[in-house]
Amino acid sequence: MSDFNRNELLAALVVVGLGAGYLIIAIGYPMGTVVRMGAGFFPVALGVLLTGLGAVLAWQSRRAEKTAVELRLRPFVMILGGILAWALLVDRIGFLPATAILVLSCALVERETTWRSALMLTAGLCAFGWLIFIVGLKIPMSVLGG
Amino acid sequence: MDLISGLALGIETAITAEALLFCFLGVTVGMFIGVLPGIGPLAAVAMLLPVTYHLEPMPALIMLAGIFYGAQYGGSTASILLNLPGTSTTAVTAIDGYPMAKQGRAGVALFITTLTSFFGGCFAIVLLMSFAPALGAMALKFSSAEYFSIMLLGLIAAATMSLGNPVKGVVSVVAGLMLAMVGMDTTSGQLRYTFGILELQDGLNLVAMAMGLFGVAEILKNAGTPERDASQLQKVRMRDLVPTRKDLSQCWKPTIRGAGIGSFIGTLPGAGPTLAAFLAYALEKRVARDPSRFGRGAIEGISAPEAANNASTQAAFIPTLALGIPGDAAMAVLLGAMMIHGIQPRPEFFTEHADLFWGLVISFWVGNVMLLVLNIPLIGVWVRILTIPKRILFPAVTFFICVGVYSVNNNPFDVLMVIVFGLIGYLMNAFQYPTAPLLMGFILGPMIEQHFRRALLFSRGDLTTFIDRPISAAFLAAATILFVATLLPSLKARFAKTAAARKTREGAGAE
Repeated sequence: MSDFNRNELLAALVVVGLGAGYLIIAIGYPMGTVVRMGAGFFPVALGVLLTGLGAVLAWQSRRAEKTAVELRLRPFVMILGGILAWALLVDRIGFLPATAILVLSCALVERETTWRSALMLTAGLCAFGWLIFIVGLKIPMSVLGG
Repeated sequence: MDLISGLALGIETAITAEALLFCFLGVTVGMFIGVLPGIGPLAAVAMLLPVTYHLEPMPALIMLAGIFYGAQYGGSTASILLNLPGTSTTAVTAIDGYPMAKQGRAGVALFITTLTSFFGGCFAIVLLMSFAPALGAMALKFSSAEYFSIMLLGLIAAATMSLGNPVKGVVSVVAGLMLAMVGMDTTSGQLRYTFGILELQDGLNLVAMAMGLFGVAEILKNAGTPERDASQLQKVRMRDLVPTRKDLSQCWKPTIRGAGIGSFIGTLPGAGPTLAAFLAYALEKRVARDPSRFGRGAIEGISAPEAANNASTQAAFIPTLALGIPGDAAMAVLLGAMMIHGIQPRPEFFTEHADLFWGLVISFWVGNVMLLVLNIPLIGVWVRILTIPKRILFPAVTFFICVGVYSVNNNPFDVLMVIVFGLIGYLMNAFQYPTAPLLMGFILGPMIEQHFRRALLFSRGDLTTFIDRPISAAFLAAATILFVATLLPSLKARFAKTAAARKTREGAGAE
């Protein structure tokens, strides 16, 4: 397995898996005839195509360049977590607190950030966002509370 | 409608205080976003989308379009000064732009790229004015077979003409088509791939997808890495901008060639400004008397690609407006924004919405002049923007993405989709699967399925309908040639080389 690029192969196998999964669901939809195609026709074709392409890529992976995939947990958790919190909370606790959580979480990803500057940025963006989106553009979001 | 009365109508609609204001806003934001490495024009559109809901379609479109071509102007600034592309379309500008900056000629490089960008843009607008209505008139005769074939051509172009492994490009397009199937099938009413989730019945949200793939994915890649070193940024003063006579005489021919290549690539559905810039650069290197100058600050190496990417961005409006088939991924998002405003681009666009088309054309002229005027005296300000640290930029952008996506349907579900697509985009980037073709596949998916079904319904299931009709056959032949050409080994090697060159400059820029 020395020349074998595991990452490439893994990605190709994921493509095969996705194609096969898509295909299995597609088979459940009505296929129709060539003249009157059903809802399943296109999805079945796409599923077959993706599975095949994945197989080609798996074959190619024998001589693929090495791809290094680094997973840095901190930005993933804090940025995606911040967005998740905003999405789940904005209609429950209101625009301002949800935004504060999002901005703080994203700001503290960078190690250079001090609490002081993060809080200032949060206050600034909350005020700016409130002015633009709620006062100015009247997007229907509650400012505080659900 | 002839050219003169069209232009008169355009001036009437686009030279109003309101239209000028939004044109200015659009190109300024575009320029700003273009200068900043790590955020592409697509993220800028999401941020400004909520602003457009309260507008008439005209100023809304003018502003959104301005973001796209404005970003092309700004993108070269970071390429030249930091060796980091502000947008991926200007990656190639860094090859010769950065050496120029190191030789103390950053000012000249910025001046020349602004000038050639302006020329490339103008070149393509002339083409748009003369060519798009004619194409629209021709397309009135298109039936479903022709539409299917040209969309297939667009998809194959999007897949194979992205940089890197073409098979991965095809995977990306197919994945986009698959995602487009989610929701209710318009012909039969069958629900597909909704997994019982109510919000998925209308299909996936394009804006959420674009923001995830191009906004959040880029932030995930760059967040938490050390701040870029802005202390080495040169001060650029007005008098540093003046090029020598030799500079000018060296760059006018490459600029014209670049504009030509860019216009051609831009008009092709599916092929975008990144490719145009790379091709223009490759051509200059080939025709140059002394190719060894390239990579060491050759002025042709910045003028040709900058003319090409701006021309391509403007020319991409031709298929977008005339056929409703986006010229590249950025146009796909603009198309989505147009649909939100109830405008469906199609051949009738030029007669039904003549004011909109000509107004848009005039706004392109105005916008390009604004960019020229904004750019040169304010060059010092744009350079300063590069010093905004990520710890301020990224939280702000993430926040604007959230609000922008939320406001499309006033539904937090779409924001959750941003997370999903941010992860998908991050993984695709990491494994070098291009993300732009996915967006193309997604936007063309429902249309291509519908036209395929309809064409076969009309022909009573006879597949030869696609090659019996001459225009359709021509598109299919072009698609086949493109596909075969990509598989040829010589081209393959060149693609691999550009991909490798691109990898070394990795670091910033969403499409």
